[in-house]
Formats: sequence, C-alpha cells, structure tokens
Amino acid sequence: MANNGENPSPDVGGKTVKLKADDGEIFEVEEAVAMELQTVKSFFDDDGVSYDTVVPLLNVSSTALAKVIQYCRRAVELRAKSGDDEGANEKAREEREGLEAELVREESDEGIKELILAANYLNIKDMLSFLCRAVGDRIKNKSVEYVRRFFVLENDFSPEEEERTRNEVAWAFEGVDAD
Amino acid sequence: MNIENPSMSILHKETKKGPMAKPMGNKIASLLRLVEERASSMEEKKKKKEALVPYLPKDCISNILIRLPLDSVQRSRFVCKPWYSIINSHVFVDAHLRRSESVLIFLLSKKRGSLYAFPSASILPEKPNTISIEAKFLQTECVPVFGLPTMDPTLKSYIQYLEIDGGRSKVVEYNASCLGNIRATCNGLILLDNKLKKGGLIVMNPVTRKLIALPLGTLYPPHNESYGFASSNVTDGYKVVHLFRDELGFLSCEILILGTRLWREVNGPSFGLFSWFGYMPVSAIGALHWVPHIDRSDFIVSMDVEKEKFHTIPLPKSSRTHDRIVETGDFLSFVTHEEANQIDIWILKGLGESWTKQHSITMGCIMDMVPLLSLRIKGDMIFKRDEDGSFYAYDFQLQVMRKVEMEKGFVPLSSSLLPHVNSLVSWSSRESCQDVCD
Repeated sequence: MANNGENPSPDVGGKTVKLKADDGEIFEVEEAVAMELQTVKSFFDDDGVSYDTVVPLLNVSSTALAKVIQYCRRAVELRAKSGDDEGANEKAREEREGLEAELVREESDEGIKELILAANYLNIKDMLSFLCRAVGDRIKNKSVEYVRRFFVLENDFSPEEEERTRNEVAWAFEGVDAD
Repeated sequence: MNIENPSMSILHKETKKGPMAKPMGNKIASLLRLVEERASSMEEKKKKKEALVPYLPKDCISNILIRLPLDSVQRSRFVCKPWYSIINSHVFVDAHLRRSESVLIFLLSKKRGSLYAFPSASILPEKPNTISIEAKFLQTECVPVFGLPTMDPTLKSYIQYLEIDGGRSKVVEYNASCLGNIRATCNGLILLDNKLKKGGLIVMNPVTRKLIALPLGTLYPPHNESYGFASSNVTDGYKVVHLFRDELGFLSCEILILGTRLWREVNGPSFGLFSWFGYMPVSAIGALHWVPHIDRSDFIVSMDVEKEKFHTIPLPKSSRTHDRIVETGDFLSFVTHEEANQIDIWILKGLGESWTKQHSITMGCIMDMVPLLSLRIKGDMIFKRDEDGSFYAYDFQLQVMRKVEMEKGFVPLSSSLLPHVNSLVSWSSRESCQDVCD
C-alpha cells in the first residue's frame, strides 16, 4: 500500500505536520489528524516547538503509522459529521464501528499487535480501546497454550505451581475452543 | 556454530589458519577456542530467549485482559508469572469490577423449585465439578473430618445468577451448592449462612470460590435480624453489619470488619423503628438503607458506613408493598408506584440532601412490578412481577419497558434475587500477591 502517495494535498488554510516513522519515511498529515495522536500533541505543546519540526516517531513502523493515520483521518471526519442531532450521532457511531471492524478484520495477529504498540506509543485512546477489544475477542475462548503462542510468551511456571493453582479454577477450563 | 562436535570445528579452524606453532600452544589455543564458541552460542540462546520475552507492555496487556469475560481472565492467570501478578493486583481487580455489569444472584433448590408445576426430579442432576460450599469450608478449617456430616440432599441449593440484556436473559450456574441462604452481597462477595455452625456465616466469592468463615456474632432468630454488607473506604475493606431486635424490642447492632475476629457493638437505631426485617438493606451513597415496615413506610433507616451511625430519612411519599429503594449508579433511588400506570423514580444524592423526582415511567407499568436492580453499566431498571415471577427491563434511553425473555434456565417464583456483580474481588486484595500460589 503506497503511503505518501495517498496523502491528499492539505486543505486550503490547513496546517500540516510532518511525522517520521522508524525507517525514516515522512508522512505529511493535516494538523487536526495529527493532534489525535496525543504524543504528537504533547510534542507541540512544549514551548518553542515550531509546527515545521518533523516529529520523530522512532518506535512506529511506517506500515503501522500509515494505518493509524488513515484511521484517525476517518475518525476526525466522522466526528465532524455528528452534532446535536441524535440521528446523525447514531449514524456516525455506526460508521465508526464499521471502520474499526474493517481495520481489525484484515489484520493478522502480528499486525494487530504492532498496531497496539503504535497506538499505545502514540497515545490514541479510542484506537487503543478497540484494538484491545479485538485482541480480547481473538483470545477469549482459547486455551492457555494458544494465548502463549499468540503473545510469544514462555511458560515460566514450574509444573507443581501450575498444577496446584489450576485445580482451583478447573471450572474455568470448560468450553475452551480446540486450538 | 557446531558445538556438538567442538573438536571438529577446532580442527577445521586449524586447517584454515595453517598449522599452529607448538603442541602445548595448540592445547591452550584449542581450549580458548572452545570457551569462545561456548560463549557465543550462549549469546545466541540469550537472543532467542529475549525474542520470547513479552514485548507488549504491561499496561497494554491489562487493557486487553480487562475486556475479557471472567472465565478467560481466570485462565489467563496461567499464561505466565507476569500475567499472574497483573491479574492478582487490586488495581486490575477494581478496574475489572468497574466494567462489569450487574446480575441477579439467587438459589435454586428442589424445595423452591417445587412451587412450579413440574416434578422436582426434573431439576438437573448435579454437574460433576459442582463444589459444595460446606465441603470447602471444612477443608479451609483444616479440621480432620471423618466423612462429611450427613446433609440432606433435598436441602441443597445451587447458586446461580440471572443476566439481563435488553429483552433477553440467561441463567448461568456457578456449579456451587450450599445449604443456607444468601443474606447479602457486595462487589461480587456474598454473605451466606454457614449451616455447619449454628448461626455462623461465610463470605465467599462464587467466581474465585475463595471463602472465609466469619467469627460467630450474637445469635438471633432470623425473623428479627438483618445483615448488611458494604465496602468501607476508611478500612479499605468490607464491613458486615448485623442488625437485630431482642426480646424486649431493643434494636442492637454489631459490626465486623471482614478479615478481623471481633464483632463490635455500635448504637442501634431507636426503639420501635423497625417492624419488619424482611427487606434486604441497600448499599448506596456511603450507607446501608433499610425499609423498616412491610407496607406504608414513611421513612427509611440508614446507617453511615464510615461513621457507623443510624439516621432516619423521610421518604417523599409512603413506600408501599411493591415500592423499593434501589442503588442506582452513585445515588439511592426510591422507585414507587404512583398510580396504576405510573412509576416514579426519586433520587437521593447524599445523606444530607433531599429527594428529587428524576423520572416517571408512564408506559408499560403494572401494579405488582417490584423494582429489583439497576444495571450499573447499561442503566436499565429491572422489575419482577409478584404474580407470575416475570421480569421486565426499563430502558431509560429509549424510554421503553420491555418484558424479558427467559432464553436459558429459569428462576423459581419464590426465589429471592439479590443484586450482584461477578468479580475477582477478595477481602485481602489490597496487596498484590507476590506468591504464585495462594
């Protein structure tokens, strides 16, 4: 997916902000969208930082940043649509949920984890919430082994420790999907 | 790097570099090389291990776990030790509690079920992993028991809860049985009769199945006493309040801080205030509130949980048989039938304040609808009809009263249902457990 090529030229009168991903790729983003990323907002809230400064986002890959920007752009558009009207609010909410579902549906397990790291680092609360919810849905009826593989975690319990506490919650292991 | 055959690789190196100087030098050189190889292979192993270290930061993991249903959370304890300590921390438990929706907890028993027109044999046979509270209590008491005391199986009740969402509902079993009644609930903990000890009580979390037996308080016949259960900010724990009336009619009160061994006597409410102990107290706005008469109660009796003092609070109008006080979010509500087709909801925001009428339900009201619960997340008010035990949910957003369909399971007509929430709360959860095993 081409990244910079998808950036539309900024609106007349709108400021843009430059964001730099870990591989050096620069994304030019409308100010309103950039401010969705609280980390970026804090960067500029500091005195004396000019809007021309390129924001270095060393912990975010360009693929993740592109998706984040795309989501935030749509989210800002949808927020502008909703107002006092209950009906319009409802419609905007549904559209946003559709957008979230779409983003999540296409992502692999690795991809979604990468997005969580990006949303966490960039401090985008709403995005982080739905991403965590999506991961929760993916692991909720799965076995402990599956969850370990998903998060690439090692079992650091000794067999005795595991046996002892597992008996206490044996009932929680019913109804678990086969891996 | 071939470490399985170090001698081979040393040989290989030697041939690459050309013959070494002296045989003695050879030995030292080869030893050095062996050490080098071992060191670098250990580095590779370490790198591999680092890749396995959880790389999602702790707060992201918490953010994910907090959205999981409780059985998933319980399983997640076993993923690894860092996850175990996240889930055990009281910060996590409290946060999960705040996100959890209220349910109604009740007991299902043969003797209760028989009020329905179907044979008691049709009450499901006990599931294989059903635990008996009494058996667990005996285990925790570490008293050597030669066989369980004979417990009449027809007296057994099964602890279950009713989940209501819009017009739908579901009965879920805890797979736990008990002999006594549920006296009170708070934050996921329940106060139960301990039938193995006359007058004894047990506090239990039916999700984690941890339980604690309470020290014996003053013994009184059940129709002259009531128990309240509330969380206390000051002690950062829970208080069990025992209110009772003696033979002379004097109202006494004793309080136990959960986890301690002594009941403390406090000044009870004034003589003659209560004629009825049948209504369970409601915990709201930092106090426990009782409706003291079965019909036509013009006031409620409230006990400030921190100050442990009783007050009477007049009601905006008389509370009749089908009216109730209910905890709603941060306030206390008085839900009252105004006329045949109207239910008014008054709220009290604090102990020193006045009642204000907040809402009137004007459609779908039925005279024998008793308000039971306000859903803490969704906000719906749940009612149960006296006549047929059917449930209704009032949606404040849509302003619509919906009859609740019983999708799975059933609730016997005479069952008393208490507001409850499923949580991992424990009375000693204030410190995060360092030990892996409790």
